[in-house]
Amino acid sequence: MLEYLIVACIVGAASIYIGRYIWRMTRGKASGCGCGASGGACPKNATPPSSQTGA
Amino acid sequence: MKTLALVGNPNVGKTAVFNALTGLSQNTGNYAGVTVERKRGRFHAGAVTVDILDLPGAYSLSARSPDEIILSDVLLGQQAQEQPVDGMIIIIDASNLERNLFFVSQLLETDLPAVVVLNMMDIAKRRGLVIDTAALAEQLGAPVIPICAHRREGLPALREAVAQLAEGKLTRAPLPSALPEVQQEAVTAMVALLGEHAGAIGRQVPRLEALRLLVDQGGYAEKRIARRAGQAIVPELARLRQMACVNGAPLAVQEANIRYRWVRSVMDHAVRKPESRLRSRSERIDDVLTHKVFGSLIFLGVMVVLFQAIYSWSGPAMDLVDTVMGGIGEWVASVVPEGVLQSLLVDGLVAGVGGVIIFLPQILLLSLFIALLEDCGYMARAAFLMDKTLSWCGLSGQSFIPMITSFACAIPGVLATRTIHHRRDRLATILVAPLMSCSARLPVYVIMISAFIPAKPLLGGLLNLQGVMLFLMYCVGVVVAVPLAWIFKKLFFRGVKPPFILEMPSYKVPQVRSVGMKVYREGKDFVVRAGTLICAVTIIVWALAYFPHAEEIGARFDAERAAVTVQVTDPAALEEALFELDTQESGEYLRNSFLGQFGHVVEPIFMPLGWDWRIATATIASFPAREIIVATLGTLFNLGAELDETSPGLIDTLRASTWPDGRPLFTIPVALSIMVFFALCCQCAATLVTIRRETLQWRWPIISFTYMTVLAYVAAFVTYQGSKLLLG
Repeated sequence: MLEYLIVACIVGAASIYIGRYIWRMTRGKASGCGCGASGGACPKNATPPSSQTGA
Repeated sequence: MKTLALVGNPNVGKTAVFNALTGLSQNTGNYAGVTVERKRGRFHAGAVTVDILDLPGAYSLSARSPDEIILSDVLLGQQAQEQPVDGMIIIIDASNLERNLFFVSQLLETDLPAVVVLNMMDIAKRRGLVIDTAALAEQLGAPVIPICAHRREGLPALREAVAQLAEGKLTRAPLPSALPEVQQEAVTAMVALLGEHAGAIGRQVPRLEALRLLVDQGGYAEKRIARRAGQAIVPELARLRQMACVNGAPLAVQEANIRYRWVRSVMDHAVRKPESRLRSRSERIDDVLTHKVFGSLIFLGVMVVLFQAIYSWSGPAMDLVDTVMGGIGEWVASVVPEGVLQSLLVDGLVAGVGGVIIFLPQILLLSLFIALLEDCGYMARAAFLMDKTLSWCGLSGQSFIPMITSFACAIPGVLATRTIHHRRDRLATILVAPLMSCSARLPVYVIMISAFIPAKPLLGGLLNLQGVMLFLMYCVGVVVAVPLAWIFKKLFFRGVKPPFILEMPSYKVPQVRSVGMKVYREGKDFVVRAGTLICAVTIIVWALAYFPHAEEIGARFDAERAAVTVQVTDPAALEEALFELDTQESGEYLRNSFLGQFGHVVEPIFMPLGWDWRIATATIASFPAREIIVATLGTLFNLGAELDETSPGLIDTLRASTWPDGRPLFTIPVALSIMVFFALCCQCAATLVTIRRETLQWRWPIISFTYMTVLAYVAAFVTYQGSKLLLG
């Protein structure tokens, strides 16, 4: 029973982590990219271009 | 707290100075456009603490591209959520003074206190330039500090000057405007006109901004004012521009002539050039590396050798990581009693996350090679060589830097498109940049190539088929991107091909610190990602593939095992029969799991690609981040347990896996179709979010995702069916 409880906790924590990750990324707060090549240019640090300019 | 801005032309070493002053380690590279974002750091000198802003480079205050807009907005105090800066640290490439001083003349017309930093003094000396810094300071009306940032020479004097700047000890009068009276009158009239619209614009427009507005016909400044004050102001602007024309020459041309006259006068006072100009080492190297034929061949050769090296050199390190992960798995299995928790730890975490970590050596090697190419200055040459190819599809070499940046990661690649002036070219580049094979695709390629492509030696053993195959997979993205960009340009972004002007930086010996930081950052992020997101997804995939774990299946197989034990008397035959039953039981559990049931629903969609439900499910699970597939395959195929104890690695597991009728599941056509699918599919939520942030519309990430997914499916289908026909 204890074994199942531990597994449930781990799976629950993983679910919360993924949910939080998705939530933060859609709000532009998670870095998202996993590569150092971004060199700090990840979305969390990026200045959104001015609304007057866009792409 | 005061804020000082680092400003100057692109690729003059602003970020190197920023890192030296703040102790941070922002990315640097020996090509224009590395910094497309403002970055903030803190500088301390004794009691002085000041914020330093590292800004993207620009050639003038006439902003055209989004990265230049960030610079001009910060300097003119128009950047939202950013206080106006209190001073400028102007960085100049000492070996290229004439061009740099054009922008300096514009900057010094502002009333901001400034320090002028002469960087790359070593190259200037090598070229025989003698710069009288005192005379230059007198001409510019600001202190001039000679340094060599990458060798960390002259930094104490720079720190002292920055501290004085921060303390407000360095004041100066703005350079008098170089424009003659007729243009000054036009600027005054412009200030008056904008004053009439101050309510709509929301502020009084300063004289410097009014001048930029007058000069930059159709530029960013004009669009912004027209949006706020209404289109009615545009004819008024045209009238004032007409007023500023002299002999039919527009103000922009006059400004360039006047400023370059000033630059030449400053040069005459402060710089002594060698009598005869010797061709520099970089120019001599460029004769070969940018040669129409040899340059392209060398570029191709460099890429082939790079991927061959990634493949060959990482072998021992991968074996080491594999052994360590195998040892961890065995240790966990010996410590944790058999059951659900052991399955989670061994089949889920160790098999999944361990399967990803094993690719760390290759990721490090790839990032090392990219960092070396960036730092030595070869990237700009590669862009130059690709200009002809890209011009075929209506893009220019300007798009190549974002595309080649995407080989490491699509996110900085998408951000790097900020250097592209034209909106339509920028959007076309954003749409094709994620097709470049980023480092996250590397594990997928390596695992498939290692398992199913023979290591046949080529060119007398110099190369082998596996390394060449890896190179070809990296080419898939480029080969597809070029015609696609042409289609996008024809369909959505019609227009003339933009001119391409690229500064060729001098070749430099890559700096150990800069390269080391890039490799370290890449490796750290890969490990962190494996330990967080990939780990979490692996746990969920394991849970979905383990449960409901119906008891009746276990009971049925227990009964069968008991029967076999009674019927079979030969110990070897009994062991084989029990192993067969164990394998069947694991497969039965997996097929009846939640993931198994889902997989069988989606399996028909992926059958034409030669995939079974496990590959299909792993692919679907990896849509948030493509490297998840390795972990998911590790978990799914380990739970299936179709391997004996002597073949613990994922590669062996995949080789041993079969369809229910016993046919091998993974064949060369299946491996090729998986690689092609992953090469072309947009399985990266972070990239899509970045596209949304950069374009300010959801339309573009949706288009990206849709076209790439459809393209990946069709290409994988064609690859599978075609290679099946060819290979029989």
